[in-house]
Amino acid sequence: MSEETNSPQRGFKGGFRQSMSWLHTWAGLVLSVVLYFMFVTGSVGYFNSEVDRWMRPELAGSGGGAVTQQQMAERALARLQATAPDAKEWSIGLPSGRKNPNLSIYVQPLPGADGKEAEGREELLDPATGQALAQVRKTGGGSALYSMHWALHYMPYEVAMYIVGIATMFMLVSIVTGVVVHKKIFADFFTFRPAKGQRSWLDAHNVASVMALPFFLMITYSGLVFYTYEYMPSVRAALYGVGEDAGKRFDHEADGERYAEPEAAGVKAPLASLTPMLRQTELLWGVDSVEYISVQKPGGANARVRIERRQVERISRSSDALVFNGATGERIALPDERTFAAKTFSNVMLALHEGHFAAPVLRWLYFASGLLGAAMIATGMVLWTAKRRQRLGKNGVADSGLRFVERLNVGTIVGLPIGVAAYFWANRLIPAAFEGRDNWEMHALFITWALCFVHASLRPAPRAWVEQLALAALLYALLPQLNALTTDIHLGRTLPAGDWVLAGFDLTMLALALCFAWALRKAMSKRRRAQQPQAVCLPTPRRGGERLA
Amino acid sequence: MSWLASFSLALLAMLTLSVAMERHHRQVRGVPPAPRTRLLLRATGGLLMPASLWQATHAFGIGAGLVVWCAMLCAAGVVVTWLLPYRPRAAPLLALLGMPGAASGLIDLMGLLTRSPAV
Repeated sequence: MSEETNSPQRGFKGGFRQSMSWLHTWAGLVLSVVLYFMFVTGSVGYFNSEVDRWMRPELAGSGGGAVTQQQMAERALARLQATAPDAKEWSIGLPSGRKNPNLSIYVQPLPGADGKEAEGREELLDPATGQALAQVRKTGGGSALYSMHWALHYMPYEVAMYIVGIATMFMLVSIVTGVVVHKKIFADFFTFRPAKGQRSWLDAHNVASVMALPFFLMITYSGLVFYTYEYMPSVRAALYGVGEDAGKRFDHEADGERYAEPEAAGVKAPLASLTPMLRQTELLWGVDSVEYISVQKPGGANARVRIERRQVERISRSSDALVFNGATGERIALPDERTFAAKTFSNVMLALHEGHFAAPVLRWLYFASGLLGAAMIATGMVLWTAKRRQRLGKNGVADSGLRFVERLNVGTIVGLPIGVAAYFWANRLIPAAFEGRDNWEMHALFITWALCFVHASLRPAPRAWVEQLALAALLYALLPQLNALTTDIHLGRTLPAGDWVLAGFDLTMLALALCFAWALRKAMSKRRRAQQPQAVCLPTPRRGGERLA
Repeated sequence: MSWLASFSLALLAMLTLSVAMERHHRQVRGVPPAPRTRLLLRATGGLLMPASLWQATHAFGIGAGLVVWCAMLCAAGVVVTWLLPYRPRAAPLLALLGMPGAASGLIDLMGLLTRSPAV
């Protein structure tokens, strides 16, 4: 962002860059709360399985061990046959890599009498016995945080989709206009001048934005690609018409028959054994390479078994799969997946966005880039107020708009992390058997966040910053301690055992606490300086960086 | 090791390119760079940039390599930008720390050049 030259005589003479600056400022501000929320929860999403595991401490010791994928699949199938003999679709998730660490089954029941889709049911199984892990606490885990970054919460999916889409579009506009209005993108590439008020915020905003610019462009643009057809329905409607049939015809042409559902046969037939099918996939793909098995129309003569390969580490979203006749166990030859440029492009975009291909180091960088995005939005929000404060001068009186945004900033920038911390705290504090505990974990997040807004609106802004930063630092610093008090997967055990997933969670919480503590120190010293006006005139201690002036 | 090499190369590239700028050279050495130093730093940074891209794509494949390269440049850029105002004197030390990793990456690439003649 440039220094705005909004003096009246410049007014509209600023031309292109000036109007882009206006657009950048307001497009960024208006939906900043939603965007900040999306970046924070989306960043957590890069570690959704890891957070899942931390949030289900009962699972810690139930790894597959020596059980083969065939054995697990048969055990899971037995459980499905025993508990849900009539269903529209069964699926079995086999433990394979970080994305899918547990053995799980999922039942999609037959539609109700009114033809409406019924809600599915998921269950985690013990790989050794095939029985449900009943004692595992119900929790949304990291995956619930992750899905909030596109589905939000407390609202219908369609509404969330459009809010998220509009916010993403605003983000894209902000990024592009931001590049236009940044006058010295190369001269200021490495420039950060600390302790200079508005100047420092602008530097921080510029650096955060420019360094990860490729990431921001990719993540924002690809975010829109996810819902291309929903956001631009008329393109498809023009060629295929509207309605459910049109949608089906379109999917059929785009994917060939690969995902077509079998017709209900009306004739019952037992399901063939999965083991020979899995042997075939093993020959093709190698051992432990199956991620997912689905059975469509189980129990009928037309049942279809689809075995999906674990996504190998490449940047594409398409996956390999073999399809079998469920009654006979014979492989059904399907036409090759159709590829065309547009589909390949969208596959690559979605894969880049999701980052499933990313090995641990790159995954951390994805996470860091996401947090840098949150920092970009946060610094932009603070900059908006800092600029207006500066313009007011020492004795100016802030108008209600400025005061509102100042409070909104505290409640958003610090309040949301406090809410997320509350989510983790609730996971450990709500009894494992408590009815509806997974919902209450979510409520804990949003109630806490709402309280942060209330708190921010009741306190003077500088004070609200200090108090909320202190609370955030405290909550994150104490989380590993709480974990040690309530579970046996604390650092004292996970570190010696070299369990870096669980230890990594606790250590990350401590690192976050340090970040908040550092920010707290800054906010406190700033508040002290503001209270002693004469101190502002004192020269800052000489350090290397100060010499550049 | 490839990760370390990627990061080291990106770090050295960012460090040399930043110190080639007058403002940042002043931060590190207290004086603007002599014209020859400036040229040398720019040339080094300008060579390290494509070298780091080459190393990343060689080690991780074209697709993932490009992603890794962008991510490493971002990480290195943030480190350098933090270093310059707060610990400018440590810049040479940081460069020194980056040398072994960068060297291993470059040696890999050299090996590639000598081993496989152009087909």
